[in-house]
Amino acid sequence: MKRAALAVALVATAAPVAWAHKPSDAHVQIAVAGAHVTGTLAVALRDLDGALDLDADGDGSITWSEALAAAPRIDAYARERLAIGDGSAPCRVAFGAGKLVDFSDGAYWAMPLAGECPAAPDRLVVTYALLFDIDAQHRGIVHVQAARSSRTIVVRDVRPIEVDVGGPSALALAGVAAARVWTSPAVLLLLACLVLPVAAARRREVAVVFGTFALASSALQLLSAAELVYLPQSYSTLGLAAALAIAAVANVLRVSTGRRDLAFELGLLHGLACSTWLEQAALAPHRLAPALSFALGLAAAEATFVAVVVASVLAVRRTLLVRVLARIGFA
Amino acid sequence: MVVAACIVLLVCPQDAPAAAAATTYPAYTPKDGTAVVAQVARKDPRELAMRQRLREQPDRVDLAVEIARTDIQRARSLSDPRYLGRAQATLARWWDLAEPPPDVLLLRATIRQSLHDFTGARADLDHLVAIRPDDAQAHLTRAVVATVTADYAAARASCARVAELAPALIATTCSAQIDGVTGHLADASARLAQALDRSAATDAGLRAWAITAQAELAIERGDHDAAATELRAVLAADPEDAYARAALADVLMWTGHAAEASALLAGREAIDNLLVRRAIAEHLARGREADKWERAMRDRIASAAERGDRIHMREEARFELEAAGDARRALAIALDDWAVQKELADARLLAAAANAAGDPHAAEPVRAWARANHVEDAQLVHLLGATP
Repeated sequence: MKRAALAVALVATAAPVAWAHKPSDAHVQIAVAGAHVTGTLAVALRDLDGALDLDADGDGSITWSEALAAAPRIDAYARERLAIGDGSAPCRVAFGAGKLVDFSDGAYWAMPLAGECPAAPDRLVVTYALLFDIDAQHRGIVHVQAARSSRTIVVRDVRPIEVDVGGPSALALAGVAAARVWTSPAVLLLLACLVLPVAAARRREVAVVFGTFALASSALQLLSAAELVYLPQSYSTLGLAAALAIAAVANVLRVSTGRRDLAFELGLLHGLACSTWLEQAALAPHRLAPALSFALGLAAAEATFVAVVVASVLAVRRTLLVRVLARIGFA
Repeated sequence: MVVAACIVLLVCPQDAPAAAAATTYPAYTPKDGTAVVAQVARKDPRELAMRQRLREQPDRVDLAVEIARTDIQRARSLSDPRYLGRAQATLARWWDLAEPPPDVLLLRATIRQSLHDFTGARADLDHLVAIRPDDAQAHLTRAVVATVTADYAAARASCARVAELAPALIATTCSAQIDGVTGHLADASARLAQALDRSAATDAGLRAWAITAQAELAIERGDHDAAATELRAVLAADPEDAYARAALADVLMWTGHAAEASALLAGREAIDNLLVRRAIAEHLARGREADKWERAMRDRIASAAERGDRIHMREEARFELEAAGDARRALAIALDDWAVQKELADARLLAAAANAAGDPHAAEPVRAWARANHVEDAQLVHLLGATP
């Protein structure tokens, strides 16, 4: 009899097994935009049952009513065991109402999450501590999507993970700025209005006027990055329009004296307007290093454009086009 | 005019702020509160009481071992690997010890073996049989792990100890599986048939294991009819035996009955071993659901890869070779698989993939293994050429 019992026990561990599905996973999707985080936490109902006894009557079936009744406990469990921070301070995260979603291994409870970090983070620190205490083979699959990058990390224990969500490199940032200049008709027209009156006659004056403009613009962008001046994003276009209007009106009125002063003032306005571009692109705005890269990229692209304008004017200075432009107030 | 033109240009839309992409899941809400949304193991009041006691007295290794053992059995009977992780978590207090209590050592080895950590499992079992030489279960598990890693001397030694400690049918099945791949195929088949005749009244689970082993020996001899008959007998006794069902589906596909194999697997695709065969059988039979099951298998492979698991390399390589038709990819995976496990199925797969990829030399490790052990498997002999 004893040998028979032994036989049963032995075969129960030696006979080969065909496994269904993978072990337990949960999925965390986090999207970072500035200081905001949004996303979803999806955990298998079977796993939640192990932690929170969803199957209240213990009959082996979790009904929709049982899942709904457990929703507040699931919410508390998620809040207690999933934390997002920027490395120095936590982000305030709240979960929305859970819904059912089907993965390849059954139904999951998926909760939307939304949160606010103290500032736009350079790195996100995620502490995922669900289920490991009841299932050592559990994995949290954490996917973090930032403005310019995305990364998936398989979390195997309660130790926090760090994900770099900072903006792009200085060179890439300068490239973004250059692209903004070359695709912005307002800025190109503003530059044309600024330098055309002096382009044909006094080439050195072009350098001084543009240099003044670029310096003023860069200075203002840095002041904005240091949060000493501020223009709401919605006024960016208006700022550029105002700068362009002033430049054009000055040309029409043939204001010839004080062009350097005018360039300085337009540069300030332009810099203020462009500082919001950095924010718009969710590129960690309130930091000096990225702002400097952005400002340098902007200035370099604008200098190139001004050089092209001056070269073109010199090439066609005696043509009809320049005379017509001069008549209507560009030059 | 210029100013007006400038203003017009300015109102052209600027770049929108970079929108944060958030993945959306297709969510649903059942209409009826009584709708069953997930199946779990029934709650056993005795087990719940034990768990409660363990929470109160977390040092009670006897309680932890009993609970973990229950979860391992549950994992096997439900084919659900989740319960292996639960068992491991229950043993967490002792899991990382160099010398845990012997009962924990055995369960740790069993879990490690199930997760394809054969090296870790073997170290635990070697240690365990040294401190508890009369532990039949330790020896039997050690024989299984040693066979998978082609250490036949160790496997044979453990089967010999099992013969002294456990019923004859277990010992015979234990050694027949080794003899089958070490040049004693005919002897192994005869002895196992004899042992089965003598133990007609034994436990059904034990008989099923022994008959499945007998069918595998028949496959090695190339006697597919005998194998099919034996596997059908196992399935008649227990339709939930997924391992026997997978083996029967293989025999049906090898003998040109892919549609029958597909029907045999229909509705049981939750189990990875059966899904891969369903996808292959539908592909071979040019069935209407071939695409559907190929996609399902791809999803399954992707979700395993997502968590960084590579414990289904055998299934993945077979899928690439026989359903997806990517022989080079199949060969790469089969080579990785061979580095971890060396059973006949792995050997056949690597040889077949190497041939299909036009690179028969890639199967050299299998050729060397077959030569060293005098492997007589009919399929492998054919795949490797006239002389293994």
